[in-house]
Amino acid sequence: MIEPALWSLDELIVWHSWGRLRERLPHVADPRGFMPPEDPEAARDALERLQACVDPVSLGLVLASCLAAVLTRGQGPSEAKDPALFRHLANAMPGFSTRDRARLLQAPWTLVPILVDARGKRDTVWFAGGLLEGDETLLTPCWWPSVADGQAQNGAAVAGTLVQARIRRGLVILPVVSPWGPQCVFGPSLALPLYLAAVGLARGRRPEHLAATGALEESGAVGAVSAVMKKARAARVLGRRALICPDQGVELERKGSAPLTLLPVKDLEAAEYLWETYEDQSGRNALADFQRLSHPEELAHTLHLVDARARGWHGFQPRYREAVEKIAREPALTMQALERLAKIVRDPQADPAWIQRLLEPWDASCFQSVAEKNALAAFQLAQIRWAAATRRGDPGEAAQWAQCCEALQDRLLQYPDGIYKVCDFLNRRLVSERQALYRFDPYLPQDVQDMVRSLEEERRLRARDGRKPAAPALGKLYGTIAQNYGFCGPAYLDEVRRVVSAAQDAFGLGELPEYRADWRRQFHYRLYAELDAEAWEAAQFTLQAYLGSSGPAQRRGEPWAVPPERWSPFEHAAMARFGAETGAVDPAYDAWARDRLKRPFSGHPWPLWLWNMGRIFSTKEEKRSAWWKSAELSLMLGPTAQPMALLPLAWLHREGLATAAELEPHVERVVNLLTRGPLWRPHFESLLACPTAIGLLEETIRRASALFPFTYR
Amino acid sequence: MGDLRRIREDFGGWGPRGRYFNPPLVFLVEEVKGRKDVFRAAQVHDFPALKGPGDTPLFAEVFAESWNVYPVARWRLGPLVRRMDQAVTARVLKNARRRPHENKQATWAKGVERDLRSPAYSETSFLEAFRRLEKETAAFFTSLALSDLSETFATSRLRRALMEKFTDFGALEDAFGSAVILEDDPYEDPLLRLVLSSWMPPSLPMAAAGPAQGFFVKKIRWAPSPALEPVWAELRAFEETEDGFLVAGKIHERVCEEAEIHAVWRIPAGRALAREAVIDPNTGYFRLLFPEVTKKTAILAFLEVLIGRP
Repeated sequence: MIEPALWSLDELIVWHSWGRLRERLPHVADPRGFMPPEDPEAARDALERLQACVDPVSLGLVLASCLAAVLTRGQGPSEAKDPALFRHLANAMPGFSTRDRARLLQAPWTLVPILVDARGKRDTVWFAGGLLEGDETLLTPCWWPSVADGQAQNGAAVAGTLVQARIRRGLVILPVVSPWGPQCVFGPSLALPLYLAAVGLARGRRPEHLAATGALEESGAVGAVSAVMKKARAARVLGRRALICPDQGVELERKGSAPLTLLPVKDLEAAEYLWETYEDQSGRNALADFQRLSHPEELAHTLHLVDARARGWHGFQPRYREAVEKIAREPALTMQALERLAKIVRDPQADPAWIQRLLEPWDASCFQSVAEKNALAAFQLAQIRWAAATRRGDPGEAAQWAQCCEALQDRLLQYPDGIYKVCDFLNRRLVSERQALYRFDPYLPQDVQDMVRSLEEERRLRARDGRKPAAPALGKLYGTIAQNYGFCGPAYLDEVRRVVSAAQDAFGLGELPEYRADWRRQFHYRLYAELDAEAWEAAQFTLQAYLGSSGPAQRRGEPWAVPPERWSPFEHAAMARFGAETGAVDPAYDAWARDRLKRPFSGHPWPLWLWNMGRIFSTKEEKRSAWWKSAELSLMLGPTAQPMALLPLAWLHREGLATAAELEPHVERVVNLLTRGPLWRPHFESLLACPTAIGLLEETIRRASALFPFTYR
Repeated sequence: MGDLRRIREDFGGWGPRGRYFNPPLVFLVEEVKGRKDVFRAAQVHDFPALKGPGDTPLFAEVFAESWNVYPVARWRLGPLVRRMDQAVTARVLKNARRRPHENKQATWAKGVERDLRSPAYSETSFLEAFRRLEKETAAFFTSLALSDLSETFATSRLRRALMEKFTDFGALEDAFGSAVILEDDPYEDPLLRLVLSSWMPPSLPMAAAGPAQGFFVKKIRWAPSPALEPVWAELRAFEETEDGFLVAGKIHERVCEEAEIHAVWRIPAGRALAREAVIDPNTGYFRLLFPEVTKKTAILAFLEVLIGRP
């Protein structure tokens, strides 16, 4: 409950007067619990009183612990330490020369728990570990040889040598034991934790949930130590969740019975990897990514499984680059790795910074070398980089990679299915560069028009007996073109209807089960275009066609064939939008929606469903709940969806369901995105011209249909 | 364990309301954890008409009152009367552990019954009267045991003062207010009752809580009228040691020179008294040691601490 137990100098004097100081000494051995006096003079006074009454062995422990606490307080900069208290303590306890004392105050320090095979009652000996400038490898207090056995001394020396070799800094240690007590530090297992703590200190890594135990050799190999299970228990007591330990000497069958996760390692590199990347939930396969990075074949097949936390390892980038270079030399591996990369880039939940890190070695020179061997792989590489740049909102880089794709198109068309890959690229480019950025333009790029013509021609040539085969690539492209027109407003309703029909034809007119869902989805686009054009009757027919057998009973005179629980979020969004625009609300659906409102929501287009249902709901509470949920959910999504939060926020304001103070922080987040994000700023210029958040919301109400056309509201 | 013994004759004596308490026969059910010389014992009776729910038969018509178990020190016990086998001891213990919950239900039921029915001399009312007398006897002898369980209780000047001051039945309630003394037995030791009292609305400690991790202790205020006040105590150590559960801390308020500290922990087995409890009046540092409490049973919310001067 109190972890660690707290103690102070005046308290120890009181406990000594009760004859109970012995009970507090285990607490004193943990410098984390030291509560320094506010006044340095009080500290000096307390120290003098302690010196007068306490036995030397106990006093030595108190002094060492106070000193360790003072040095490690403030996590580094000397100004955070208390020089006056340090002076009192250093004077009371010999150990470091006058010259060294000044260096100790300047050094960054950390506390290191050294787990011991409890020969006494203590199962942890705390050390203060610091880093010194200069060439020396290890600085210890002069009494170190009297409290540590030969193995421990040698372990600390090896740790110091390795620290100097890796980070060009010297290691200084202060064990929290009594200088005047018996020998109490045994064995070489302190080497690994001292090394990791010191190197981690230099790299800013102080994992809270990790402990380590292990001997070290100068080669960097981690050597066996005794009583790993006992040390695991001691680590658990300290609140650690995992223990880095030597690979040798741990009985595999007993690993499962350990009180925490054991992380066996062979060498320092693996130990450092864990020290720098291990967090909760890393589980037993914490080293899996480390091993992947060492094996290009495995990495190519499992790149999508690499945890983003692996980048926390200081050695990640060079090791990953090296692996990518090897992968890029093998066309088969390259294709495998690129498939995995594409998967990551397509994942809307993937961290953009992680994507960027993964893509770094797949640069222009890598593209050139891949292109020489395999145009398909190079095209995919360029497409991935283009997609990532677009997603990040970097038009310059996106254009550069789009050019790479275009440059490869001729070579790609030589492959049997090359045309579909090019079509897919054009399709994605249209979505990414226009709809996702709110950059609506009815004019279709020339290469898209050419692609439509080519695919139509191909389809015509493959027709037999007047029946054309389904052309899914063409259908998808038509679908995107239909959306492109839909976003351009009611003036393009006819184009939407025409292209929707063409897309449905390309998907086999709903007769092919494999493409039936694609065929049905085209009704969705048509419905929104008709709603935007206020063609209510047509919209009602389209809605019925879209929902098909899952349509509401009242319009078909039948009970619902498919209950709303099984509708897709897009079907719900369509239903809500139709209801909100026309006022024709199915009471059964309304009741279902009220119940659904109580449950959590995740992903697009639920924010739009919530906004539209909020317009339908009759009570203030339901409206407020639906609109706040809508706004909060939108703001959790990607940049395209975030501005949609303005709709519910505006309606909350319009209905007087939220105060300006409540709304402003959310509006500000959207404004920041519109100002600095990847979206096409001219589309939102009228909003950005508003001087206040409330003004912006009122402008949103006035221009909702223009700002959020088609499927965006 | 399993011994049937009488509390030594010389410990009988005059108690509250001018009653003389004869030492009862007790059945030893278990050792108090951490104390080889103190047992938990169930009071024993042999009149079959007074046997009721919660009693456990021992032999013939003799039964152990599993609902009436209290600590007794070895040195206060007389010679062995009879030794029962382990199974009987286990039965008594099992019933005893079940009792607190059932007793609560019974009390509630009794309250309802009292409200709804006119008084009548029934079998139940005789049983109730008998049990009340048995509890009074138990309270008298528990009071002796408190001194055996806790050195601080044994030597407490505050306790002596309370016992001298509040001899009359209900006097403690009159002084401190009946609202603070809620659930315990009116025949029990007055210091114990104050330590265990419910002493303030729950919102008060929240409002006055200090920044450090800690809890509120009760402080006796004597003037202008007796009352219990909350005082914030910072926790410094809270852990199981070889000698028992150790609670160390600091009271951030001036404590008078004669102040004593007393503590009781409510644990599943009943109540555990702090065997050692000490406070330094100059600094407010205190130390409490509970041999009966383990890491598992040490729930801070169930720790009751009282400071006060005689």
